[in-house]
Amino acid sequence: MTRETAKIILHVEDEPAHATIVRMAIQRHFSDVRLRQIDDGKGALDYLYQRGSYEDPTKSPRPDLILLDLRMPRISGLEFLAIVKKDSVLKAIPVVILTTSDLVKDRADANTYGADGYLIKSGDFDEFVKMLDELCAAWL
Amino acid sequence: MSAIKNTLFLTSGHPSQIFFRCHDYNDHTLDHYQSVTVDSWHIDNHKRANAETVKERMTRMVESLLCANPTTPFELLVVDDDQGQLQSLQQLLHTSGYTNVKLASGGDEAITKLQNNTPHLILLDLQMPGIDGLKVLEFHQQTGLASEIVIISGETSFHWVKEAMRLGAHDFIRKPYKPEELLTAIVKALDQFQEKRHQRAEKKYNANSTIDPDTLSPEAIKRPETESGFQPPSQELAYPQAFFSPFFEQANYLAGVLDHDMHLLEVNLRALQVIEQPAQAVIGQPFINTPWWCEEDKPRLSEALDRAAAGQADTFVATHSTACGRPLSVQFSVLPVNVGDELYVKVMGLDISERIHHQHELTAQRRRLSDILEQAHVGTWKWNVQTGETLFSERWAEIIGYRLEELDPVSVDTWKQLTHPDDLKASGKLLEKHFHRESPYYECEARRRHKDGHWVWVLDRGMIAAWTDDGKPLLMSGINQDITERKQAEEALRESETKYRRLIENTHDIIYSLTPEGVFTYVSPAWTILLGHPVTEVEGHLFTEFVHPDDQPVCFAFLQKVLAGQRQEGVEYRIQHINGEWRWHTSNATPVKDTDGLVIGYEGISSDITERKQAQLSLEQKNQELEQLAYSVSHDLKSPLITVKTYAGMLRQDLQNGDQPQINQDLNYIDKAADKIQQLLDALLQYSRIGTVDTQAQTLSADQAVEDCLAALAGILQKHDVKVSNSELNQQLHGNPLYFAQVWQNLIENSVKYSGDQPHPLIEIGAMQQGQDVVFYVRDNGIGIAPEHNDRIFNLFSQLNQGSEGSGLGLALVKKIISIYQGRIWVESAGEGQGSCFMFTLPGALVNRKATT
Repeated sequence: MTRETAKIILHVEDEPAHATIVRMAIQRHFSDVRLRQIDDGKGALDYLYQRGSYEDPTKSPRPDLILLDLRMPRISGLEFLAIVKKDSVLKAIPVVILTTSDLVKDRADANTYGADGYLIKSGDFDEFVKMLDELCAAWL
Repeated sequence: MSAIKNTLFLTSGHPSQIFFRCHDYNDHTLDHYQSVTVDSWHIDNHKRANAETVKERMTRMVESLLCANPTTPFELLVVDDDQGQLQSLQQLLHTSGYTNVKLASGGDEAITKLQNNTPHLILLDLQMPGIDGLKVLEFHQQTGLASEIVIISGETSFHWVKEAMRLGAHDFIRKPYKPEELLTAIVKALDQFQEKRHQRAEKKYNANSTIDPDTLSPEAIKRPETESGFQPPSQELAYPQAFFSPFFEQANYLAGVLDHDMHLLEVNLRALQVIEQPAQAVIGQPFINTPWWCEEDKPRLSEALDRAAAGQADTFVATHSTACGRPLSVQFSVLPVNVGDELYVKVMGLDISERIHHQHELTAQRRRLSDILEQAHVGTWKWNVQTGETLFSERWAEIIGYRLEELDPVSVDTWKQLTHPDDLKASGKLLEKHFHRESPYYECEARRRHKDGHWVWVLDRGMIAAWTDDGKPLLMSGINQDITERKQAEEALRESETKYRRLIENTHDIIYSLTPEGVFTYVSPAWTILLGHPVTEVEGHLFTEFVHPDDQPVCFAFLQKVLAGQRQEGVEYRIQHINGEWRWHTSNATPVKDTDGLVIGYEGISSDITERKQAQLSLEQKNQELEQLAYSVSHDLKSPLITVKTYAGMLRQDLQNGDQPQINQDLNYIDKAADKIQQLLDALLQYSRIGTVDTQAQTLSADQAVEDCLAALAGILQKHDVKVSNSELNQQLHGNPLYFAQVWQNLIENSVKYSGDQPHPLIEIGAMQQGQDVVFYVRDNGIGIAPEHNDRIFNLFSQLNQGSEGSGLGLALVKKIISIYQGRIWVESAGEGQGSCFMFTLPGALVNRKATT
């Protein structure tokens, strides 16, 4: 599971418990992945555009993959997705939805707005790790 | 003389011109005479030698033939004080064939004679001692005698002539006169007399409408001609000119002369015109074989000729089939005339076809009229208004169940007795109107008592046929028509109309008609019941004045389809009650077409479906809520459950590893997730408990509700250092107090929650009038809201997220409560960081508003 260069994953998630799960999985199993976590869509956009508290480019490197929750305050996951996929530079970054929702509508919306993948959160940590492994193999 | 067999009149154009042709007994044409006048005979040079002989013979013959003219029956009275004049006049008249001549030698004698007898003609001298001619004229006029009068006088002053004419003289002959001048005048006067007599007879006939058509037969017509009796022809010679001219001038007279063998000797132009043949074709032929006679008339002619041969005159009417095809009715007189020892027969025919035709027409007309009356089943009546005498037809009686004889004797009282008293009064008024010539005819619908006792409706129409001399109504006639069926039909129609009207007026649905432009031409009273407007404020107005602007397109589309000619149903739209409330209606409509199939409007029926619509909307809302609930269950409840499950799994490992800090973290997450689940379930429960029925409805002031709310939230407000500016609302609310408290509480909490980094959080609470609505508002100076989210924030669980306080159900709850009171809620914000203003209405809860409706 080693990589020549460390890849950067941006995780957008407002639920601390869920954010912790992802952080622990990366720490324990993906040593060559650097994880950045932001708890809402607005902050994540600031990061991508390197503005506000993310003005320093060295502290806000361009991610290789974005993991995105759908249900968030202020700017929802879908809105964030739409903005990223409309940006001629940012749209190249793969965005994978990571959500508890298995509604057909959410999946269809994600597809419409240009998501590159759709993962449903599992209640089993090992299974989640395995899912992340496949994800990284496909996108990183 | 014996060489002349016969002499022919070929034609008679001018009174003084006759064309002759003579034959000898060898049937050779003997002589031609042309252009003969009485005074000078222009004789063809061809046989001048015989001229005098021929002239003498012929003149005598012709004159004697013509003396047998039907003028002979006339009675004449000659009045002159000069005995010499009287004698010479009598002589002249006798020789001219007027045998019945009375003489009077003065005015007094003339009047005595006139009192006893009326002559056909009076020859009257004017200047006489004592009673003069004018006095005789005056007497004649005053007594209404029918005689014609010819004045013979030496007096020529204009005054006398004028007076005489004014008093009814027919002609004026100046002394001294030429005999032919006088005779011409006499013939003209007698013609005039006969003409007048015909007119009188016709008048008499027309006045007597009950005359049997049989009396109009030719026999009846000829009666005036024969009433004085037939006089045998005179053999006296007269002045030919006087007789030729009137005789041959008469377009109606066919005239001819036969020899003793009944062969045609002479014939006049009129007779030739009838058969459209030249004289040569018929002259010398046996009369019975000439084209004038058709087979049917021959036996009668033969009979008349036999009588003539025996010296008897005869008259009969023959119907001729003529060459031109038109049937002619001719009244023939066949008169034997002896000239010397020779027998001649004079045949005179008077063309009475016109008269017969006229009578037939009249008869046919009467029959048609009577047929019409018969077919129309119309009774007739005649009424002498002055005497009260009446005449009813059989049908008149039949209409009311009687035979005419059962009503006998009839009078105007018969009518009065049988007519309904109410209608009799109305009828009397209408009659009076007609009598005073205020109406051209009388017309009245009246009930008449049937023999069986029930009433029969009768249409009575009539007109004055004759007035008295002083202008009073005299004779009136009219018709009666049974209109009971029509009356019953009218009654039935009225009843059914009433029934349908009642039906329409009692229905809860609105029945309406619209012009193609959408203007109401009729709305049933249900409109007023359902929507409050008086009908008069709707009719004549466009439907768009009442229909919700949002729903007008669908209405127009609906009417467009109807306009295409098809019945449409089921359009749903909101229509405004007079109190401003919107009611849901549904309608069906049918096109109204004119005879050309063109749509000239719509007719429809609409019913109030507000309750159904509200139930439907609330059902839709509930479905939507259910959907959102399902969503929240699948997503928002799932999220903390995943947390619990994942950390429970990790806890197991961490316990094995004895990693105490991790164990604590796992337990902490599980704990928080459980709390979240609890909170969500509570909110769902609360939300589902908000019903539409206000079981605990109370009336309270909105200000009180806000005060209570602020008291309950005092802790939170103090903690966040929020300042509240609270203005008077001045509204009374009726409803569940807990709901009202919840609305303000949730909105205030929401403002506190989204106050953001605001160092001086401020919340303003108030109410204002916007148009017809009272709008409540809760304004803050917090983080504000992006315009695109304005609607979304009121959805169930929209704010629900694990990262923020509260269930996220707050605004959804507020929206639900407000909808119970038919209100709406919206948010205005200049944008992020600009603060938000939540505004809402509660029309269903406002007490003062309710009081006004």
